[in-house]
Parts: sequence; structure tokens; C-alpha cells
Amino acid sequence: MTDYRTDLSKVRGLGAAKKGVGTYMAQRVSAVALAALLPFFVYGLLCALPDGYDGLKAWVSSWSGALLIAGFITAALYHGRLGVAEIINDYIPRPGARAFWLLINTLLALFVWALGLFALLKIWLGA
Amino acid sequence: MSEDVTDGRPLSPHISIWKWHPTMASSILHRASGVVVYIGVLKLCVVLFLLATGSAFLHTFDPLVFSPLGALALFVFLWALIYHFFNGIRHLIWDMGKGFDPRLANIWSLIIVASSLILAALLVWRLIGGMS
Repeated sequence: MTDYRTDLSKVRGLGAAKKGVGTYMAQRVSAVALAALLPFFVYGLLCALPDGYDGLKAWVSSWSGALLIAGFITAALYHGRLGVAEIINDYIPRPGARAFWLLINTLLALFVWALGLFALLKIWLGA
Repeated sequence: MSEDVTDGRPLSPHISIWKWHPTMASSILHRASGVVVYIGVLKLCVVLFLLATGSAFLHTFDPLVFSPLGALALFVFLWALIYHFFNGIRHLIWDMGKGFDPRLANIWSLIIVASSLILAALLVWRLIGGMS
């Protein structure tokens, strides 16, 4: 039987997805943002915690606290989603299961991000 | 299980045949601590949401949160956060092509693990002292 497909057409699309550098840079850029925010975040958290939930609410009610937490959870969920996606890609070999967990990973991060930002806005506007 | 999904291509050596050394341990810890911090941030967002909606559900776990077990959980979260922060800075230095001397890299692994443990313990100890 004659094969009409050219050699080139057989290998097209079999290489890398060529998205690696973008993911690599996104992981580093969010890492730098988090490294800059982290000392302030930990300091604010430790100041708020002795007063329990009231302390947490007071922290969120200040404009500096609200902005800091908004920036931190945005960068952290973005960075964490990329990290967990890397773990899923490493340890789940079956393409179907891998795609499923990558989807769950992305949707969970987006959903929780929306939840957090909504909460920040509501507390901050209500204060 | 894995034979049928690699199309006969070789797999990288399995982790069980490696000898443990500090840089390897710190690399695995980086991943593990990243997952711990991620779960912590997810929980923080849920707590903020319950706080914003004024849900009584928030106080369901109060006996657990304000117990020694809760302090231990805070310690684990803070340690993972600080460890990932320190080791992440080292990763950024590695990305610039610096810091690959094996002996120094091993020493730094030990320094980062030890200093993050001590710092997290100090912070939690101070915090608990402040509450009582």
C-alpha cells in the first residue's frame, strides 16, 4: 500500500509545545512579587492573630492590609497553581487523568481567588 | 502500571534508588512546602469569605483552631512559608547561574532548613506567649 504522507507531515506536532519559557518566566515573576510581599504579609498576619478573627477583620479593614492581602493571595494562587500543575504533569502519566486534574487545579485556583477577593472587598467596603 | 503509558521510552530513575543528600532533601522539601503553603492560602481565602459573610460556620472549628493542635498547624504553615521563601530565593540565584558548587549548596540546604525551623518556632512561641 502506498503511503501518501510526507515525512515532514508525520513529525509535525510531535515536538515540544513551545510554551515552556512562558510558564518558567511566569513562575519567576510571581516568585519575585511574593518574595517582596511576604515579610509584610507575615508581619501583618502575626500582628492580627493574637486578636483572633477580630484581629483578622481589623487587618483586612485597613487599606494597607486589604491591598497587601489582595496582592498576596493573587500572586500566591497564581504561583501555586503553576507549581501544582508542574507536580500533576510530573506524577500523573495518563493523559486523561492528567487533563482532568489540571482542569480541577485551574478552576479551584480561580474560584478561591474570586472568593478571597470578594471577601476582601465586602469587609473593606463595609468597614 | 507505567509501562503502557511511556510508549517504550525510558523513565527517569526512580527516587527509591537514590542516596539521600541535603540538596536532594531540600529540593523535595521545596515542593512539599509549596503544597502546604498553597493549601494554607486556599484556607485563608475560605476563612476570609466566611468572615465577610458573617457565617456562623466559621466558629465550628474554634476549639480545634485555638488549641495546641491549631498552634502546631500554624507552626507547620509558617515553617513551610519561610522555608519556601528562603529556598525560593536560592532558586532565583540558581536561575542566574550562580551557587552550583556542590559542597556549598549542601551547606546552604542545611542552613535554610535549620534557620526556617528556628524562625518559625520563635514566631509561634512569641505568638502563643502573646495570647496567654
